Amino acid sequence: MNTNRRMFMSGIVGGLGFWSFGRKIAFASTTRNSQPARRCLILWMNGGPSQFETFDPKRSTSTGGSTGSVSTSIPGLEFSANLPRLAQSASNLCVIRSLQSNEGQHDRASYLHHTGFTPVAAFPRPELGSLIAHRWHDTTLPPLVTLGGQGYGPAYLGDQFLSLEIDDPRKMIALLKRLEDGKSRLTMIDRFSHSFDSRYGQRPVAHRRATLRQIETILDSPLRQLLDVNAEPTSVRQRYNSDNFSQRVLAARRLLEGGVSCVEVRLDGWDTHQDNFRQSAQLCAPLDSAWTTLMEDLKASGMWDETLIVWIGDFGRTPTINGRMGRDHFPSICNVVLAGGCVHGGSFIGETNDHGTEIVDQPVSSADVFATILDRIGIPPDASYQTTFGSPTEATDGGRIIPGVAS
Amino acid sequence: MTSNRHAERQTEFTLSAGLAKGCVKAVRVCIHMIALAFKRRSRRVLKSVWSANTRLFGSKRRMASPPTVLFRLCIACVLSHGLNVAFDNSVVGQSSLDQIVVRNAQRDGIQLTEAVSDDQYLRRASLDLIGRIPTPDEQAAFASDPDRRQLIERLVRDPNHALFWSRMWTDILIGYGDRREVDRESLRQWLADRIANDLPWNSTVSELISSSGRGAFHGPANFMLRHLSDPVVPVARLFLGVQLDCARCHDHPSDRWTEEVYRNMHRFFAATQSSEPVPGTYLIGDRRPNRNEAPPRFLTGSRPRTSLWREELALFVVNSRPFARSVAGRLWYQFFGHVPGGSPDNVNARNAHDCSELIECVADHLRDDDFRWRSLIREICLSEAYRRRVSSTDPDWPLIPTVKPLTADQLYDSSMIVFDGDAWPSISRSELVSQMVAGSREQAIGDPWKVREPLQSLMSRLSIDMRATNSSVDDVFRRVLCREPTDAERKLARDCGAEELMYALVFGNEFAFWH
Repeated sequence: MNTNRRMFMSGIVGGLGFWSFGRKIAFASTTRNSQPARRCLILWMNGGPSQFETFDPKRSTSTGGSTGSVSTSIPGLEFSANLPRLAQSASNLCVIRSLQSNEGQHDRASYLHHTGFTPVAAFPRPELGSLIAHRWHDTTLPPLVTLGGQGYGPAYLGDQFLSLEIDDPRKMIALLKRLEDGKSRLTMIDRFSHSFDSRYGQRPVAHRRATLRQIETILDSPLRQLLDVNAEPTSVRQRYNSDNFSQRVLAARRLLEGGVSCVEVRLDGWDTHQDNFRQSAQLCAPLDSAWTTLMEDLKASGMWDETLIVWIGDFGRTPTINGRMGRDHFPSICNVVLAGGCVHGGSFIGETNDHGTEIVDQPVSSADVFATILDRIGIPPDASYQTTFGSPTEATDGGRIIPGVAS
Repeated sequence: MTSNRHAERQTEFTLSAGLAKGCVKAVRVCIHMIALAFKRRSRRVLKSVWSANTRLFGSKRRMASPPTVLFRLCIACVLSHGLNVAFDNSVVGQSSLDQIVVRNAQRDGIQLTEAVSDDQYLRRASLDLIGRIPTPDEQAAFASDPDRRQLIERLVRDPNHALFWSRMWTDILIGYGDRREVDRESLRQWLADRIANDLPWNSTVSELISSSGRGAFHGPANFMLRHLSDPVVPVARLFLGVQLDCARCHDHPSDRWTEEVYRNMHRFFAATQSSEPVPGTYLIGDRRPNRNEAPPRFLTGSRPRTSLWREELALFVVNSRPFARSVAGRLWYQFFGHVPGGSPDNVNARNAHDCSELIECVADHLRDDDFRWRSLIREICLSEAYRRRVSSTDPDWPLIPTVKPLTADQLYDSSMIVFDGDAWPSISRSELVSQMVAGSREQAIGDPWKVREPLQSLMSRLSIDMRATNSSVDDVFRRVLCREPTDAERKLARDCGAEELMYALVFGNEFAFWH
């Protein structure tokens, strides 16, 4: 089955004139029985969300702060009071509260939690979305879309798995409209550069030609209609708030339904060195409502089983509250939340001590988290990829699947 | 038998012709040397004449008068040139670079390509040196007087040369992404000044490695501010052609670098720290190393003699042979689009094995000029090798130029020529740059020929409106592609409007590449 899909894919991709570097050369068999997800939504919390004000509150301790907590639908478990609706649907979530990393700088940590590897300039790694797209992409739509954020690149998988970065969906819609209107001009480009292209059809030239083709393909695809959240019935739109994040989550849902393999939605502003409590509460409000609504929608449309939701950020924040009522970078403890039909809902991995200063149970590494995510998406963590520069490499940095996450 | 005698006569003939040419050259060399010696009172010239004399005619013990020395050199010139011509007919008048290219091509069985047209040569040189295509006027001027030497001289002295090269080198040194702690413009201006005045590149690099101060006021300090979290890797990649990434965590799997070598190198920066005395401005400096701190070691194992570790490292780097090779490789890469060894970060004695002769020759040239690279640029741009067409049979052979994508700056400035000073409608230079390098932002150091314009950047450029032009088809081709249209293209152009033609040419691959 896998081989057939892959052959089908390479047929499509090859036909478009791409070259695929990231040929998968081995596929260890998955041992799980449950069906893997084939779509992924990444909720990227940019700046590093505080675990105390989200999924690991420490009520009435010196480190806990003023936010307070609410009990969840799972007995004995509490979320921060910022997330009342998510607490109600906690049975859908798998919360990992014991992720430990060493990267305390934004750029490095952000790279680590997009790719699963610490940055090494000479060996760039593909971002999670590119790996997923490489495994599942089979439409003429762009394989992965980043809403409001920045892509980390497909590295050895090849440029056809580069993320389409959309900052403002409305602007993109207008752009696509303009391009569609002038589509006859696009075909002229090819006619005039045909002789040049055939003479110099080498890598960079062939790549640019393929990009131009890809643009034509996208214009033929329903991308513009999918991005347009106004096409949703009013009753649905009203359930999502009007803020940027909620609107992007709604657009993401439409893109996933349309066949995009992976969508990342970024929520900015988590770098709360000052005024942590008020800012976290402000950020949690849209997060809480958009995320819960999205889960309801996915369940209603039957997409729940084949979609994985990943909530992750740069790192956690310090137990100590600094003089400006802020929390600083704290890579030693970080929260990650997974959700979707392929995940064991209502499970909680790892535990921190009473003051949230140390992990006391089941510490996991970033590589473990990535191994687990890839396993849930149907990619064995030891899947081997051929790189452009020769040596084959594995999908994760020696990560092991965290037990208890799979449904 | 007859053919044998014929061949003999041929050799005799070419030998005498070679000797005659050699005489002319010798006289020219003499005049040139004397003129140089008197005009600039350059000790270096006299010294090199003297050392050539010693090398050719024996020890220093017998003092010879300068005229004798010159006379001897003339004889040497005449002889060597004559013999050269007689025995290797194919390389008459070629520079040493070209001779190496021809020799290596013969060795590797590579079919060398013919020279490009004057139009295309002008486009190449303009893009490489001043970062834009030539204007129609410049094209007409060069067509009427195709003097390449004069052209290159004009281009390297053009203020846009320093501007373009400083932008490119800023990207190479600190990558594309913007960072709070780095003041790009300050670094760029400093580089532009050094490039405009052709100051020695070894002292430039030495300052980059060892500078202290505020990035906003002191350009070179920004290099360290950018790379402070891990300075060893970029210093080794950029200036020594050595990749130490792997050695950061474990011994290099295929090279000789061990984790210990990396740690020893890393200690050169152990005393370096950055601070933010005023919000928004960053300062880099060194504390005094403790007495009991283990001293660093250079890749060769050498230890610093003083406690000024960063300064010592800078000296180790710029005085080493790998440094000269690495600069040679980078300059070659700049012009040819690829380089022996595969990557400009990787040009070292080990990797360049196939074409090490070329790299050594360029490195020697650089050293002889005290790392002032302008005369090398002239030599490269005037070489036959640089004029060769891109090869379709051996596209990866590094001594024949390959296609290079235009950088965002080249594209922006070239579009100014195409649209007559209007640039891309509604896109500023900084917007275009940040769109085009979006896929490369995370790289710590930049590589101008590896940037691939992402889909959405091309999409947004493709959506612009074209103004209708009144120019003829030929004019549009001249303006955009710097050449006449072919008959087939004229025919094709007849079927589409002026706007469409402009659009098709501006977004076609021929415009988007150096070729």
